[in-house]
Amino acid sequence: MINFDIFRTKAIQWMITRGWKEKLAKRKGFEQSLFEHTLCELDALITFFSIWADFSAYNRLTLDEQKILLVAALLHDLGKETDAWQKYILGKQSGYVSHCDESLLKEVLSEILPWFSLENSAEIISAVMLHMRSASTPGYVFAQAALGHHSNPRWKMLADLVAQIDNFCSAKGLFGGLTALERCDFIQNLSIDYHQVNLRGLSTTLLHKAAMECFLEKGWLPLMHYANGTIYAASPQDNCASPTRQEIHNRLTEIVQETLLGREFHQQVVGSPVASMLPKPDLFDYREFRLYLKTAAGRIGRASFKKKSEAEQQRVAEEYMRLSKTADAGKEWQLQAIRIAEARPEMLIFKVFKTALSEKLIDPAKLKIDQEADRLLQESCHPETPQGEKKYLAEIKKAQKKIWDGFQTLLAREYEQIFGQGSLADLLNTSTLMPAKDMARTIDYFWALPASRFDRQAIPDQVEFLRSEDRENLLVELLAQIAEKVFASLSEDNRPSRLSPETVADQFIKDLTHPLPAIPFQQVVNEQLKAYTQSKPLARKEGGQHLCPQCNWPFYGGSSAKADFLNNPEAHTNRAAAHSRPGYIVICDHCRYERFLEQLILGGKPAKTLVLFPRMGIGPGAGSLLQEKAKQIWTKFALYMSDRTPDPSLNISFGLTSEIAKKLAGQEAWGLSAEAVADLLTYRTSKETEKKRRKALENLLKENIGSQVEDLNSLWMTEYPTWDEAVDALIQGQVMEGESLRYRAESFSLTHSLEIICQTPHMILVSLQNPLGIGKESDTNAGLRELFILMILGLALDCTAASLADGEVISFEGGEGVARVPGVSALRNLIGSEWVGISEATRWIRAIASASQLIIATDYPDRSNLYQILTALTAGHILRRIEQKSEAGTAAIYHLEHLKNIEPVLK
Amino acid sequence: MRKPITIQSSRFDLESIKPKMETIINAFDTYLDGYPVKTARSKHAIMGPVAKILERAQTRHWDVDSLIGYALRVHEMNPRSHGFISPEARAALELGTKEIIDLCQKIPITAVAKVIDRLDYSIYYRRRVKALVHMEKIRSAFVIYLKEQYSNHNALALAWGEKGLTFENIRYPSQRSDSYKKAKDSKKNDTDGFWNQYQTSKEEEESEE
Repeated sequence: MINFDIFRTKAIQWMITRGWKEKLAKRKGFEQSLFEHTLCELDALITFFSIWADFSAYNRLTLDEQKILLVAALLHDLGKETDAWQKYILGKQSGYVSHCDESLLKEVLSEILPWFSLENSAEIISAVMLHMRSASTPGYVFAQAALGHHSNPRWKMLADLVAQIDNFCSAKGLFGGLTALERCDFIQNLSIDYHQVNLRGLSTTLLHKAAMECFLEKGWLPLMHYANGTIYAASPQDNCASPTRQEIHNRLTEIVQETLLGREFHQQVVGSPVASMLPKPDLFDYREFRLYLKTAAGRIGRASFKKKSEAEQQRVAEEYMRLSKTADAGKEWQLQAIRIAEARPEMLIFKVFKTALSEKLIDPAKLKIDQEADRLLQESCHPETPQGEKKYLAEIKKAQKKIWDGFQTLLAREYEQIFGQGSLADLLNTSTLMPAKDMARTIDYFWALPASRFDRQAIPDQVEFLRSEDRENLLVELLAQIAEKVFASLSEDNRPSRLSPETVADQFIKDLTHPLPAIPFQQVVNEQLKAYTQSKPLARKEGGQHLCPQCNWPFYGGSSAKADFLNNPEAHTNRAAAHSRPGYIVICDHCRYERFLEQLILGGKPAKTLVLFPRMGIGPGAGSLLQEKAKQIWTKFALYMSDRTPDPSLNISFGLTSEIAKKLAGQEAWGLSAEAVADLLTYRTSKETEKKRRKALENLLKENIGSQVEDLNSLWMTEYPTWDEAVDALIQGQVMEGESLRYRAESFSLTHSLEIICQTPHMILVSLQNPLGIGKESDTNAGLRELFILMILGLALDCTAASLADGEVISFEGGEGVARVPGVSALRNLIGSEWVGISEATRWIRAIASASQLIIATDYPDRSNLYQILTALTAGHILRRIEQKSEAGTAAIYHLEHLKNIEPVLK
Repeated sequence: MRKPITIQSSRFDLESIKPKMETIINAFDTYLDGYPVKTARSKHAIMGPVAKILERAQTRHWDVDSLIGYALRVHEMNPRSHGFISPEARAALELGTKEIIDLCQKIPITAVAKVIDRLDYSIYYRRRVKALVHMEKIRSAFVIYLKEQYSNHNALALAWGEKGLTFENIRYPSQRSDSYKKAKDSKKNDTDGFWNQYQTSKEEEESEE
């Protein structure tokens, strides 16, 4: 038996040692390194072996034949490692250069044959030399037959198998692969199927996972993964059936449910005080109402109003005194300003309450009447006739109005019972946050209530004089109780509940294009045409036929986009009619849920999303390695970002190019392990920052636990002799008490700033909460930082890396190069193309790394320093700049090293 | 109607003249190897007559002989040259000047300034790299010298009175810098001692050759 895992590991090591990660194997149509291409072929071969293992009817591949095939597949493109062939593929050498190099092959075979204790290499030589169609001439085949000294009579069949697998692995894309497979002689001994999806983003990773798991469940083996799907193979004897769309849908629902589990929905439900308070009604759930109110209180601080100019504070305070029915006009405006500042969190609690119980969340036109009442209406109206239908709809509307009126009446009764007559009307008269109005129309009512009414003590006996925290809690409690009562008056299906995983899956499954019941092409065309002709006047109106401005898919209905999850929803769009009324664009539910999910996972709107694709095809073995590497990086990052990190001074940054460059010095990006990549992207905060953070932590501990070491010891059940030692222990992760760890996370800014989403090898997403640019630097400079990190990731993980701006559609499929140059025209001009290829990436990594090391010496403006260095006319210009900016008037010897790295990219 | 005037324009490709530019850079670099620089601080001093050649060649009004004559005069006027120029340096100067005049005539007038600018800074870069490498060689020799004098960097730091000094961050042993002037006697003695030893060993090497 051959241990394929050991063989693969050995082969990988051998290929890396020979520098195959840097050598090109494919360039026309798509780009792939010699390492990746060979690994693809080995993976495909190993998959075939496992399919044919129990399938004695075909070929009866002996152990020796399997060994011959493995070695031949490993060495089939050996000749491509030569400099001559590399120059040829890069177009630097005229004339054809063959990569079938027999002398080199014989030389290498002496090294490889002992792996399998093989003695005769004639079959391997024939397989390698004949795998190219141009070399496989009848004359050469006869020569091999006559003079090849083959010990295996099936040497030609083995050679053909290597050639056909090579053709399959060299095909571009999923359909290219399928076509190549269909041409293979062994196709009758294989069952083939595939899944294919439209590339979108986060939902694509979930869909891939669902589809892949369903295929595996049915007994299929993945043969080759592409960014947009997988080709599966199985033995024809197994009679594997394709999974149905419903099965994939069910699995997708489960995956969505798993993904949503444990997420902090309340953080996403409650919006911003300067925009919409409940921007995502789909995520609202009436059972979590209390939590939303508490979250709202945290959205604004009391100090924010105090930071406003004195004139502004005075204006607001005076406006409040004018509006208020109860405010003491004799009080000075300064006192009123302090009261207003104090009341800010409570204003937001009222805002959420008002929005949650308004038509914005409960649409009266969508209220469902109970089944019995509906049955009676149908019996009395006969909706099957046109007149009856009209009558029926009118009756339904009446019934809905009745439910809504009942709801409103109950709300008014409950609210005014606590806050007093007319208080609800005043609440409903408030709009976005306007402190004076909110103070007069909501807070005044609440603060005037006697504290004793709620079993609380205050002197004087008014809610206003309770402690801020007590007051907030009381308000949350009162409003939550009102909401509970009024929500209870509605039937369960009319209460605002969170969208279900099924609803999300219903949308996400639309991206699955295979397996799918065949839809007539004409029908698709007609649907799109209809959407195109009707959507323009409706682009900013909910309902009707639309064409999604984000993903171009036709849809019906939809809902208005909010700035909370889409940038510039009110901006100009060619999707709307020219000079039409302004408003928010309407996007499809698929795009909306995609964004919700992204925000739920990341905890906010991502500033950038990095997409990693395999470079065209990737075999199952290499795919697992890619996933494993990504997961290792993620595990390390997740630890650094969590409050359990052993060293809170370690932070993650993708944008600190010079720090990354320092760590990268002397290493080749393609040789980086997962651990090395994670280390590269982490940095230690400066001593000053560390001191400040320690101070902040001490303040938090003193404020919340106590100012003596005994207080800490009693809570932690420890025996630290001094305060400093106790704090040190907490910082170093030796104390595991939950509350204290939270203070440590708060003071050391341990936030969840990125997420790596790696479900399958098809596509890995890295969502970044912070932009890569530093300070106010230009897009070009930020783009260079972005490109630098993309190239490192692309080379280290053997994949194609690209970054996506908000709303950008994925228009590539992997294999275009190592990294996509960010869409800044100056940057694309500098690089000279949209993609940086394998042969160029190392050169650019070195150049950008060196430029980042010269930033201080050259002293160019922060906004464009990297770009200015890389666009200098000659290295002499940069050197002169360094000398001019240096106090001593000279450059240092290490500057020369950097200049040497930059020189090759200067134009 | 007047006949329309049509022209065919194409972007000038700098790559096409790269070999010629390389020849010019090499020639002037060879010449400057034999040019006595007054000070290494200014670009003007480092480039010597080459800067003048580049400036005048750009005008496309000078011929080869007159420009070489002008450059030779600038060379002779440098008091350190004592009116002497080696035959190799002169040959290189002639070659460089001839090539640059030729180049400026051949390339489009719109590209001349850019090409001259590139040549100017490329030659300067070549010179400065040589100088920096030379200085680094001396600095390394100085470090070796100091390692012979002191057992470790702590002893050195103590003797020189410079906190945090290590063998790695020793700077070039200039005898004209402010830091030398302000330094303790031990540092001055070490610097002077090194230079004495260095000069002696250099002279010995030259006599052996």
